[in-house]
Amino acid sequence: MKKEVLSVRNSRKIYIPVYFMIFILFLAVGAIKFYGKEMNDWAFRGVLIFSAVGIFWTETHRLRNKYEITENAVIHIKGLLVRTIKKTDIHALSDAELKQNPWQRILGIGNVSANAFSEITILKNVSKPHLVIKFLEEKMAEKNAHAPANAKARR
Amino acid sequence: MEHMMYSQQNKKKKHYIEFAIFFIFIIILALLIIPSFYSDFSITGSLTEKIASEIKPNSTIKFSADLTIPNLEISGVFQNVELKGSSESFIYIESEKFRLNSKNNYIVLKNYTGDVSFNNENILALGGKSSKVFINGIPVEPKTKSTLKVSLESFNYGFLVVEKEAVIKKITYVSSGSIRLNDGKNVFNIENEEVSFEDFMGNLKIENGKLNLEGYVKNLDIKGKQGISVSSQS
Repeated sequence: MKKEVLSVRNSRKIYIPVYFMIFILFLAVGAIKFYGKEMNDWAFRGVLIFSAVGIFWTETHRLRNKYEITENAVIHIKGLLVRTIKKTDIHALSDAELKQNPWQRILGIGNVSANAFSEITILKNVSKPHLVIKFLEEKMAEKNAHAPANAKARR
Repeated sequence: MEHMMYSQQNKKKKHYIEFAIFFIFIIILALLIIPSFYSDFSITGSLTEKIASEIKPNSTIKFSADLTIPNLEISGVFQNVELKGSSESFIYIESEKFRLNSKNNYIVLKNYTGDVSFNNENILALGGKSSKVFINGIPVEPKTKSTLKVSLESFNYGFLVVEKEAVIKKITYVSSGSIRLNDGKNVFNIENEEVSFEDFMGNLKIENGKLNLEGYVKNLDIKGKQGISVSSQS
């Protein structure tokens, strides 16, 4: 059987407000240069620091969370230096849920919840959430179809 | 329940962080745009200019006087301010502090906007903005802005010039010296008499303990041995 693994991270689209602020600041710097005006040194340093910190923070924030859907489990890998890996067995999943607020709908992202009774694994702000939930449901269906008869009976 | 409370607290914290990031962004943007496009923006600076333009008088009596030095505060926009004195005080230009420790300090402020207050011995306060400052012949110019913030601590002076234009709204004090009106057509020598004039506009010079004024006034009153009152026709 072919092993399929879906690996997703938070979408960069959620950082659009930060990218937009950086863009506005550089636009203001460009306008000051274009009109030949004098620029406040501290403000320019502020623009550089804000942009550098903004890019660094968004990238590290994005890299901190990774989600994998394998044949057997939904895995949430959290952290950069200190890693926490949370594995939820596909067998244990009761249902999957997709939540999108208006902003997420505009950007085409969403939160996919994999519910295992009391435990919930949320794949936050992932791109193309409909495909992710479809993939997850397929894996859940496949697992149920291949489940041994006695396991089915137990259920 | 506990999980929900934790998640709500987390959401609140996230909103605070978002608000802080946006606040920092607004501050940087304001620091970029305001000093660049509104280089003369300053609450005190614009106020001084407003006051100066408001009180610029319409005086017609040509006035020249050599008098004793009063306690006076003038504010406005001056083309040139010069000071000489021997005083171990400090002059502040932007964030820099310069110690005036030589025997004869000579300070020149070009295109100065601000206040100067003095008595017969000291410059009591000086604070404003200038396009260029010379300290003992060494020029100090703005790097990024068009003006420099200047202030001076109490300074023992022997020479002061304020040119184009010193404005004195009204002053009344007991003085001695001479006053010449309309190019010397009328000369008044006074001795410990109360002099009062309104809306003086012109140049001011203090040298050798004497105040020299050259310009125009609207009204002049001398009370004492001679009671003289001169007013310009309006």
